[in-house]
Amino acid sequence: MVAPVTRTAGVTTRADTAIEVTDLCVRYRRNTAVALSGVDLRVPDGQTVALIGTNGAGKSTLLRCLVRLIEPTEGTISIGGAQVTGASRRMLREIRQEVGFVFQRFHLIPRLTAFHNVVHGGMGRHGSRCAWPVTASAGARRQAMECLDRVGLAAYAERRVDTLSGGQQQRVAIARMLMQEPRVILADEPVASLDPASAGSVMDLMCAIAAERDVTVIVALHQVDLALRYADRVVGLRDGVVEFDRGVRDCDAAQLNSVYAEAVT
Amino acid sequence: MSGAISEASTRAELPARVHRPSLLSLVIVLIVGGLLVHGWTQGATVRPDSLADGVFRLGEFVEDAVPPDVSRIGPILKALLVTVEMALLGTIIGVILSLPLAVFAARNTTPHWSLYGVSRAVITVSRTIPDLVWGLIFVIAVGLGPEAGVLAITVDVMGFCGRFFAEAIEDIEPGRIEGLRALGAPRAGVLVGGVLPACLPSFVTTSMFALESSARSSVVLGLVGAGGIGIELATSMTLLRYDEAATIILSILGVVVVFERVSAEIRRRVLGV
Repeated sequence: MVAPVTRTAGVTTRADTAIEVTDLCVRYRRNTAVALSGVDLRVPDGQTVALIGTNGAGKSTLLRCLVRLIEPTEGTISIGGAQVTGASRRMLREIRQEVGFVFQRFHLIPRLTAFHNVVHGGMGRHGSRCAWPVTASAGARRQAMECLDRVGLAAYAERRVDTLSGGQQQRVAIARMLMQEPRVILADEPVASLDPASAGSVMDLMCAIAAERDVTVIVALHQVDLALRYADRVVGLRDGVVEFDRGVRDCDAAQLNSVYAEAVT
Repeated sequence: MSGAISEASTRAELPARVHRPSLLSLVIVLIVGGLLVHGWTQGATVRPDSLADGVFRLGEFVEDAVPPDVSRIGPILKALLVTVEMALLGTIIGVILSLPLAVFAARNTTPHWSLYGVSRAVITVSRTIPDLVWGLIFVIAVGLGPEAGVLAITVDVMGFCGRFFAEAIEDIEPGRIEGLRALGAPRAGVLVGGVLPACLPSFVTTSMFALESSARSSVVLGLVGAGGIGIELATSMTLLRYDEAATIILSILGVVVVFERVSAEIRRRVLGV
């Protein structure tokens, strides 16, 4: 497990900005409710941010917007100094390959083996050669195996991912993300469809990897206790607006739970 | 009628046993009836007397056809082999051409809306013109012979597979594509690494169906001179050599059944695993 305190201390000495979002607005269709309205967020290098809020608060939208899987309506985003908004398709691909995305429903390609799915992670750097392990370079294949080994699934390399359990599939997804050699990890409720034990191991793994490689993490979570345990900082969203934003030591569980409690009434 | 309405406001009325048909169903019945009557005057009929005659003549045909004449079995089997090969080559080319066509014709993978429109139009035209008509067209283009048949089958398969491949691609769970796009994968990588493997089972089943229907249509294509066994059948029939025709029909039956069994088996394996 990672000790958040030491990492926060590390951040203060070197406060380069990893992600900067200013005045971000998203509207899904004309004349419908806004998904995000005027979000500002600045995340320094190496920080782990937990994003909490009810369903529909805009967590997923914000994360997807950061790499333009959803197009923002207004506002600017930069990741590692590169402008995401207004980037050309080629530029956007270069930005995306630096950003690892972990999804709630894993989004692996079923019917393919775990190894094959992890090799896909190399497509950003090596291009379409990594679409199939047959054509991938020997180096990429070796690296994919190392990534699988890192998540403890080397023994399952030849297994089809749809025969693995949910926790194992999410670990394959993390291995695929590792294969990208990301500088930023965005995780959209990575443990929401897992049992508590698998959820703990997936979060441990993701945060350990982030700490090893000094990667910036933004993770959307529903579980307040997980947010307090793993994050350096907690950002609460409600109806597309940042409601609060403070360091994890200034928060307590009751305060965070109130974000959910109030929304129900 | 008006009495019933006023009563309905006071107490619950038993629903009428028969409702008056809507205007639309009335119009449909009238049109269908009119067509049938007009068709009868044009000879599109089933008359009991000719039916009785026909059964008698069919009996004659069967009498002539049994036992089947196997004296020309060599050339017949040769023509049959060519027919099978036509079906095979036409289907393979058709399936290969369908893949890019389907990628363009699927909403979620098309690079541009104009390409989407064009490829949809190509698919529609290939599908709506019957294979026999394509056979006639290609006989004009490349002359009599199996090549015309192969081309006709190719176009037919493109219409069939293009449409069903495109639908399979549109049915992919969007998250899987999103997952690969988020990796920074190039478009070709997303297609080859994600879309193709995810759709493979449905592509294989569709291709097997296409192979079955090409086996049937390659037999018929011979009738318009597009190669294969159809021409043999037409010749035997016009020369009233029904016993030879029977041999041809039985061997066609055998081939089509084999095609169907093989394709069913492949489909079962692909879907079962």
